[in-house]
Amino acid sequence: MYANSKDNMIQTKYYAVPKSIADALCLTKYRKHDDGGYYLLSSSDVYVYGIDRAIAEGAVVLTPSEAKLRFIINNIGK
Amino acid sequence: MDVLGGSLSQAQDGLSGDFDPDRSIVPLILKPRLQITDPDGVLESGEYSEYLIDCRWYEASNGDDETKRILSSNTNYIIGDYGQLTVLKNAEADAPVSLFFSCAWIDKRNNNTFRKTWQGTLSTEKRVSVNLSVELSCAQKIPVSPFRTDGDTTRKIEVTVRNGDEVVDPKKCNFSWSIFDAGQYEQLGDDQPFIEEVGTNYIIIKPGYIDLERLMVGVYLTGYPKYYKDIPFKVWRDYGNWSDEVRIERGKFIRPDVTEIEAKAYVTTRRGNIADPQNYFDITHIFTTNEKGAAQKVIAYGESVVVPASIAGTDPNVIPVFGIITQERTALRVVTIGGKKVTIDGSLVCMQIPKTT
Repeated sequence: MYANSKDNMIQTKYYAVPKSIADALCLTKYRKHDDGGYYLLSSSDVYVYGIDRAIAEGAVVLTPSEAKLRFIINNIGK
Repeated sequence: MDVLGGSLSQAQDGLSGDFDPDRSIVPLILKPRLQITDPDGVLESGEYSEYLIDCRWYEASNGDDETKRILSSNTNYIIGDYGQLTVLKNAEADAPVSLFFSCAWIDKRNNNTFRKTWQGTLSTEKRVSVNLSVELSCAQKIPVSPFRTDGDTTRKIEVTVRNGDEVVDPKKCNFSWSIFDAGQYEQLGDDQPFIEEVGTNYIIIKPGYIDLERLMVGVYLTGYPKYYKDIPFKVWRDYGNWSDEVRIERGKFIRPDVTEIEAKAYVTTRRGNIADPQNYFDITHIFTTNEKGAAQKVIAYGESVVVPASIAGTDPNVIPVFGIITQERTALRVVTIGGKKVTIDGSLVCMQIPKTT
């Protein structure tokens, strides 16, 4: 059983985007990337490009913890 | 100064403390840029950022009088070439960080040194995002079987609070437990006999003491009573469906050697016969005959009764009839005298009363 109250829930999101999108946004020099050629962008980065468009071109939505795991923790020592 | 990959301001979730964006994940880059247009045409117009020298970055946190130079050992920043600064630091909402930059450029036309400074502030806006849901560890309607509970049986009812998908630490919430009494909800205290413990986000009840109680738990995030949520729930003593009958265990056929008749009460639920029904029901044994106007005599209380066979008499036309009246019992009720609870050796004295339907 549960009750619910809702008001402007803000969920911080990050995006793993293909290099082509990071290139288009001129962010390849400033953003982390993984071995698969995906770049880690913030939602405000991707907003400029168009979130729906980015997703259609292969961008993947990540939570903060997923982003840290994929782009930071997994890259330690590399 | 080019501000790349973000802005000087960011947001912080007032509940989780998460930053949006988190600069440790997507850093902010501050890149000084020197653009020169020489009206005399001695210097070629264009960008001269690579000729910046003596680039220094300083930071000052809110309230700090001292400005500290940012060195390469500072893990909150990465100092790059030509004065580029990568900011990994998230500024707390109540502690903005001021950044100062200074650099120099030597004009090769006359060897004059020009100094340039820049100042910016990393600020954070605290936001509260609430999508509160409150979940009970049980149903909102809790029938309690008297066959499984006694005065010592306890049951824990726990509350889980979520903000969105995230479970909120109970320490960050305010809980209020209340009981419906005299037409309104009142604060639930541990002086109620059915309460074993009132915890922060849970209560432990003793169902054996409950006939019917309407309870409610209210929750809000500390500091945000506007988002108060509550869940009422009900606990009641429920016997379910049952039926009773009396069977003659001994002395069904009266022969000269039969001296006693034993009548025994059976109470049956969907799960079968209840063992020791006298523990849960008030059972009254009745004796009468088929004679018109024959009196109904109470001959015993409890599960079974043994009476002399002579009670059946010798007249073959008079048929002895044994019967029972079976009544459910209330929950345990604390005995009081003059409003004070009666105890023996520190234990409450309780009683159960047959329920009349």
